[in-house]
Amino acid sequence: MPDRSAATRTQVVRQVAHWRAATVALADLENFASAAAWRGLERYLDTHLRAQLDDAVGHLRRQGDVLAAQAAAARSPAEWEALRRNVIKFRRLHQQIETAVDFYGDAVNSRTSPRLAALLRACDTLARRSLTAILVPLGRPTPPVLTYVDRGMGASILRAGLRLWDGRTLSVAAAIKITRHNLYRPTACLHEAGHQAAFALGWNEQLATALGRELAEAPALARHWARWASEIAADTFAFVHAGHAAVAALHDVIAGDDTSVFAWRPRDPHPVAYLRVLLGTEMATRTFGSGPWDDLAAAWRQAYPLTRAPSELTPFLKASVAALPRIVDVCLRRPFAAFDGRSIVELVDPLRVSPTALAGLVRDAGPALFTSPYWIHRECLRLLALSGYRAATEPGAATAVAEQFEHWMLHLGNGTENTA
Amino acid sequence: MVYMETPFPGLLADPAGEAGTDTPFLSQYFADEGPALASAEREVEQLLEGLHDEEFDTAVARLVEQAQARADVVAGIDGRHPRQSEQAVLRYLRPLTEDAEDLLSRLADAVEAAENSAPVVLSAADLDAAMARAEISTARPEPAFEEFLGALAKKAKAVAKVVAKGAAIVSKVLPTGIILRQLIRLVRPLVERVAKLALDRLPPQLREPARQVAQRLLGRRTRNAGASGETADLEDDRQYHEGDEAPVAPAGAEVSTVQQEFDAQAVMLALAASPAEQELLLAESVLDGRAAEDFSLLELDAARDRFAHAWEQLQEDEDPTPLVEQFLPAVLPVLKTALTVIGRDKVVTFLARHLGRLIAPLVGPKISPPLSKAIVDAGMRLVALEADEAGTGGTRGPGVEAVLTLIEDTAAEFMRLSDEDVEVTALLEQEAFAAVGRAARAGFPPVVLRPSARRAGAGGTWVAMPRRGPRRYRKYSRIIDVDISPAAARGIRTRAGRTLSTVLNDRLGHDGHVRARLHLYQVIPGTTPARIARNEPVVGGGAAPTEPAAQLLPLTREAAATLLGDPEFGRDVPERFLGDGAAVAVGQRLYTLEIVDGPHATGLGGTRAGATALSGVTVHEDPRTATATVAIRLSETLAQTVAAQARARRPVSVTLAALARLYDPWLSRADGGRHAAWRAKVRRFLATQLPGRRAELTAAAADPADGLTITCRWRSGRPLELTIVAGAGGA
Repeated sequence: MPDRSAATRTQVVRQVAHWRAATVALADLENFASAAAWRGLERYLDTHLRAQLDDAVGHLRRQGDVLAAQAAAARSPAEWEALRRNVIKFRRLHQQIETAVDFYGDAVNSRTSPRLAALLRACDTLARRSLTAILVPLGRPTPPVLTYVDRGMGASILRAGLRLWDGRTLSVAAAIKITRHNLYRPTACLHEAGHQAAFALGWNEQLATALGRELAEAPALARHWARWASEIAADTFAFVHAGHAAVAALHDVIAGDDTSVFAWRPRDPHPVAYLRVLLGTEMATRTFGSGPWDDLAAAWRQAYPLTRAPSELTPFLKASVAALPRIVDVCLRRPFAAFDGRSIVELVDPLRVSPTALAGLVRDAGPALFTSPYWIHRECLRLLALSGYRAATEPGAATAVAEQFEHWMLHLGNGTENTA
Repeated sequence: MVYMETPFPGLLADPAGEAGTDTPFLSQYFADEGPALASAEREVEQLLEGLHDEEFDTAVARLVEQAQARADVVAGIDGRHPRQSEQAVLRYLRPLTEDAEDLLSRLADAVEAAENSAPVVLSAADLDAAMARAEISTARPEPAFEEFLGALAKKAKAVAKVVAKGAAIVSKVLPTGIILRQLIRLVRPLVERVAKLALDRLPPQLREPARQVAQRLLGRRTRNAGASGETADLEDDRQYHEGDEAPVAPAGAEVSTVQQEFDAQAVMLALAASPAEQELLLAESVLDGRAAEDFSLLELDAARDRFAHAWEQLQEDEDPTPLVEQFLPAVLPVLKTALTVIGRDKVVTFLARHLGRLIAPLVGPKISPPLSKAIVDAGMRLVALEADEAGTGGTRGPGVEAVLTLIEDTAAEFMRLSDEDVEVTALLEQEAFAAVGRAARAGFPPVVLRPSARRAGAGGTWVAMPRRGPRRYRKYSRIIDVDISPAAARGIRTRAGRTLSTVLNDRLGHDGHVRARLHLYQVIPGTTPARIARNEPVVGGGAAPTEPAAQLLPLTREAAATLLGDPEFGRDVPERFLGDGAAVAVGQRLYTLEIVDGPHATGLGGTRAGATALSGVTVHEDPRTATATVAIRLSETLAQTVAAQARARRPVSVTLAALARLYDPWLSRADGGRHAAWRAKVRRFLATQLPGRRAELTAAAADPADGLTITCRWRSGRPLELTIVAGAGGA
């Protein structure tokens, strides 16, 4: 009769050794992203991320040491069986931490060239600066931001402060994914940063409640607009920082066919695309008055007439459009406890990115606006708003605008280069 | 062979080589050496001024930083193995020597070819054109090499112009091509000086190069002419006095001495009458260079090790006086002293006995560990030092480090006594008591001192750094949170007359209230700002700083009073250690700020997307041409601010006020207030000239160059001139 205890012991000891050895590979972060890619981060971000990942792997290593000690001490079949179960738990923990390290490694590794690294560092700065504008006056810290590029149409965020896959490690940096096509108009960074801000301040829930109350006379309206609060919050955040540039960029991302524009997904936190663009143009109208957003709205309505919407959705869409002015007022001008009793426009004044204000910036700064380190560093958010505005309103100058944009973005990113 | 004219009528012997039989001097000069030397000195000074190039100093500084970084890494890994450090430096610099010699050879080829094909003496423009054809390049991927070779090429062109200038006057010199070829012989001595500087082996000397050159040339002539006077000694002045202040010791040799030496040798080569004279001059330079090697810092490192080892072996009640007596002589050579040999011996004996008695209670196996623990508890964990580090891997225990600090700091203060003071025993005792007290308060945590001896302060202690390898600076163990109001920032003077407000605005765009973390450092022999920056990531804001000195600001008594509420924490030093260069004095204290902005703190290197120039003011007065120039350099921040004001057609008084905030404090206080009288002149000048020059201001700000410079020039008999140029290096 084979000695089952001995067989179990052999397998468990072998597995312990295997998983402990696998932990060693996790400790070298250059197995997940190249040294050059790590250098593509700003130094403080590099330090924070590495510390977080080292801590997670360190915890895993200590758990492995505990397993080894248990293996050395186990004598009875019951002890070997308990150890076998612990090995399974350890394996699961290893996979979770590997997922986290892999995730960040992939994100860092998207900085594949010095140019791309500089552009992404610039995006890091833009996102962080947008967060600072709203969090610091409220006495909240600004988390580090790591922007990375991946395929697809939409951006996304792994927020800072979330528990990672191992259930223990908190993410120290907000990891924002942007798409390659948006790399040259990264207002999507601001939208994702808006998610971080709303999460940190608890604004999503308060906005949902406020929208529900404002639209209480129409329960269906109230219910769905409240459900969309988190995405509306992020769109609002992007608007107050970038104005029309954010609206135009959003339009370009979601202007698909009728099916996608009128798509209704019960569990989707995003508003129906048709309404989302009109919400943005309404924000512009109610903040800046008349402007190119009027044409955008008109063109949008013409391209997507309600007669082509699904018939069961049309009444809802009509009622929502009629309610847009009130919805915009709630988003922009309602005081919230999340903002210490202020409205968002009292914290970040969207008039600074009105066409008039942007023209004033161009006049005051002169040609140095896009070349001087002083202006680029100081006004990078407004430069983003200006570049996006010009891209949206001067299609004939698209190439020149794109070149100018890349020039100042590279300058912004290279000024934060990690030369250690 | 074409001989060209020299700028020195009568200074040089006949180029046909009959030196020794014919005096070059007019009779009245020969009769009295004084006026001849003074006149020659002035001429040489002008030539040296023409050669001097700040870019050359910058390039040399980068080389020294890179070489020194390699040496320090080796020293940290292997402990005290100077040979390995030296090899690392020489390995690093060897390719540069080859590239530099090759560059000068190509330049010489180009000029010789032009000279041989030209029927007349080449003009400056011809020389430029000839040398432009020689390419400056290096295949080595080393930015510091490329920067240096560019500066060397510029230097060679400047030497050529010096020669060409001479050709426009009277007398004869050797052809430029030959002189350039001889410059190749100066490359190795130059690189050797760089290596010595990187290895802390260049003595911190104050030289007067013009006088040197004039004496050498003049001395040879008078000697050869059979004059009875001996060749004037080349002075090697180790004393540095500023007014009536006690002498201070520079922490190390200055980078500028490399260029000074090179220029002096280049001028001598240029003025030499014959190839034979050139050979003699070169040989003398090489010998002088070899003699100028100073191992006192390395000896101090070794002495510290011996002391630490012997200290750990001391038993309770054992007298440490012999240890101190053996250690002190290693400390003296790195400090400036006004004492003669006799005076020094008396001080060493007195101090050793006095210190021995004071530190005796701190020795022994029962006392040292608690002392070490007290020091660690005072915050040394902030500098990554744990109590169990003692004696492992090249580090010393905190207890013995504190004792070494006590001895060295006390000695530093003591060595500033004069021979007359030393004769008075009561004065010696008084000074010893005060010096030991000050050193103890600085180096020991309050908990080990008597309450009456403690001083209110931040509760930390000074820790010798880096923790592995030779100690090269000290860091205060506590990082202090400070709040700096705009008014306070305007009242704190930093480097080159700048206020802290200017620095914060220039680098970080901060002109409001600032919350920051204050990091403090103390200079000891061998400290350089670059060394601190390499070991302290906070210097430079997380990126390797290109100008480490600019981020390490002087903690004067005034700055300490404002930032810490305690002027005693600061140290006042002579003005020359408060400039933009890397010169620092032993005992000087420095600070850097981390501006707090959430979890992301920014150092004074800032994140300014490339802008590095700081605002400042330069005054230059030339009595010979009756010209005075005040150059106001605006950082990129200030340049864009005033340009925006001009574009917006804001009243010019706003711009004038912004400029006044920059030049007023500088002119009032720099150089002991010597330029205070210029304040009113500059104010009037700008008020009358600037209103009509807005277009130039905005154009200069639109230029990609970093910052801009507004220059006010007064010339006797000519209208006032105001120029506005892009770039904050212009003047």
